[in-house]
Amino acid sequence: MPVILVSSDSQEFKVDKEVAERSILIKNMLEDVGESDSPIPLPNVTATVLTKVIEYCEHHRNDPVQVPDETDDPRKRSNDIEEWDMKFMQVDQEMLFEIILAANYLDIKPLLDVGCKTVANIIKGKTPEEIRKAFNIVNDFTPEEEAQIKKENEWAEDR
Amino acid sequence: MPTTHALELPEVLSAVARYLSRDNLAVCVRVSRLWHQSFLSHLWSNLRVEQRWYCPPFETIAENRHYVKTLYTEVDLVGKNNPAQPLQFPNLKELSVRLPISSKLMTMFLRPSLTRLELLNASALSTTRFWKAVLELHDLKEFRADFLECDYDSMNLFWSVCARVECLSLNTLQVFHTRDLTAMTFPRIRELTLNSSGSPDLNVMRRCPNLESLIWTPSDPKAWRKCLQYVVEGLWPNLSDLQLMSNGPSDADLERALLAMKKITSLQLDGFGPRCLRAVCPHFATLKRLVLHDCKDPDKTMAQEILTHCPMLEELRGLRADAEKIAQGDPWVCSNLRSLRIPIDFEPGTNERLQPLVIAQLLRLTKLETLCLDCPPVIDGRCQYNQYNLLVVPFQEALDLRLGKGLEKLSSLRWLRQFYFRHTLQRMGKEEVEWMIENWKQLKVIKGSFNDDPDGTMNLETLVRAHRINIFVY
Repeated sequence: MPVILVSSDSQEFKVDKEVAERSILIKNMLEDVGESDSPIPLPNVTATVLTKVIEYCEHHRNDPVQVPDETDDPRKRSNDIEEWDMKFMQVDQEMLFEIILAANYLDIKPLLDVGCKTVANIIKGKTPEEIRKAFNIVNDFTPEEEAQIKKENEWAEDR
Repeated sequence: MPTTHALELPEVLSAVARYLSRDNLAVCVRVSRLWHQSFLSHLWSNLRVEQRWYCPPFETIAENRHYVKTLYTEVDLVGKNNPAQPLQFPNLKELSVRLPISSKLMTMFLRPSLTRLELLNASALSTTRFWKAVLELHDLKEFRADFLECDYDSMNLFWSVCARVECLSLNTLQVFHTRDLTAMTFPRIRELTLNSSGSPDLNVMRRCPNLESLIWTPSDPKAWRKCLQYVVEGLWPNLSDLQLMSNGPSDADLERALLAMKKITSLQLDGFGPRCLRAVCPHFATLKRLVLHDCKDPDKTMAQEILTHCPMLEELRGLRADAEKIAQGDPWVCSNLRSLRIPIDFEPGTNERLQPLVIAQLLRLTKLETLCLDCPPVIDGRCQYNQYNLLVVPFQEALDLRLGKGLEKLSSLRWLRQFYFRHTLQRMGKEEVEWMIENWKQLKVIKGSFNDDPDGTMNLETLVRAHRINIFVY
């Protein structure tokens, strides 16, 4: 049974219910609304991003639904991204962050995880200045604060 | 929408932090105020306080102690101002203590939130008061005690603690400790590690009917027999991980035990041979770990067989591979492999022909973190005594790690952290070293000699260390 999703720029997307329900937000909405045909508005997601999100959900439509993992597994690996997902994530940085925001808003945990792993992989091995450059972040520390924090955490930098 | 928007959401930063190692987190807290706030808790979540290395100052630990979830310490963490009371870590889940700490202090360290407790030196923990406190830890799932010396009155309490956990590790248990075991069983224990204790080990292990993983280093060289008998008798129907560090059993002895196992995911054995390999065959689909010592594989066929049949394999060690067999054989299927430690032997003069095919196999291992091509020295007629009357074993012909010979194809090993090639004949230079630094961004340790020019090698070593990679020649 198809579901109609409407992006913030008013484009309509017809998707199978099974695919749409990879988003817990949409799943809950559908449960609340019941047997209605009315399109679901997604005011926080533009058409280009929604296209990508739907592509992801289509590809993963048969994946087992993930049980929320409350435990902090220190052995989590960021190199566990499967081939298809890696290619899927080869987008420019702006799109990467849009996908993360959309996955967060729509509550699609596996997509959020893949996005965050991708960001983690960008961060790895960089210095603070390189990270700021990569993500356009302003350094709002005073030089004294920065020196203090560096000193306080020097112990953690060696492996 | 500004591109940093996603990175301003605390839940996103927190999710990213879970995939970062401590050294990366230490860099992230320096990026901006928001990042400092979001990443600090993750940075402190896992704390190691070691005596030898630079560790955080006491005041800094005290300031951040509520973030600490996992603590390993070799220091009693007692401040100058209040020596009677150690630092309290209110959210502690895992605690490992390696120092002969007194019962009194240790009791104060315990938190009700603990799920894992490791007493790496339990020699001073003898009071019933302490063991009663441990018994109060209702969420405890993993427990380890080394060098236990508790008194008779406490033994009952100690065994009650063992009975309630799922993972138990005991090191150097004394015989008298198991006197009270007769009436006890440990149905909760799924993982058991026992080390050097003689007969008490057997007394403990046979009381664990739901055992899934057994790691055992017996001190009695004949004790393995009884243990393998338990496997054959079906004492542990759920056993899938067997690590037996004993050179007693033969290939046939081990085979009998392996045939009795319903599922095999992990093995660490001494004396594995062709019979064992046949017994493991039906379990290739589930095999994750195979670590062998003194393996009986004269034709060097096992490595290729394992690598082409075990898709779930994560660790392989202790086999010697033959370059010809790897080159001419089927493609490797173990794309999940994280650690590969097998020397790859080339017959003299075959390198030119076989190298590209061997590289073609290696580059498939895109998740590899450890690659060890160390060639254990072969003592034969080519060895000669040098001027100090020491036997010099010449380096072996092995994979040629030069650019242009195939090294460049190994850029697919993006996650490589440890790269070893000791005792192999190499002719690497600055280009190769720079390539490794550039392409293997996670590289932390190199072991081996880049070439046979001692001065040249020293310069390369300096270059490597400048990039914070450890290098060992031997």
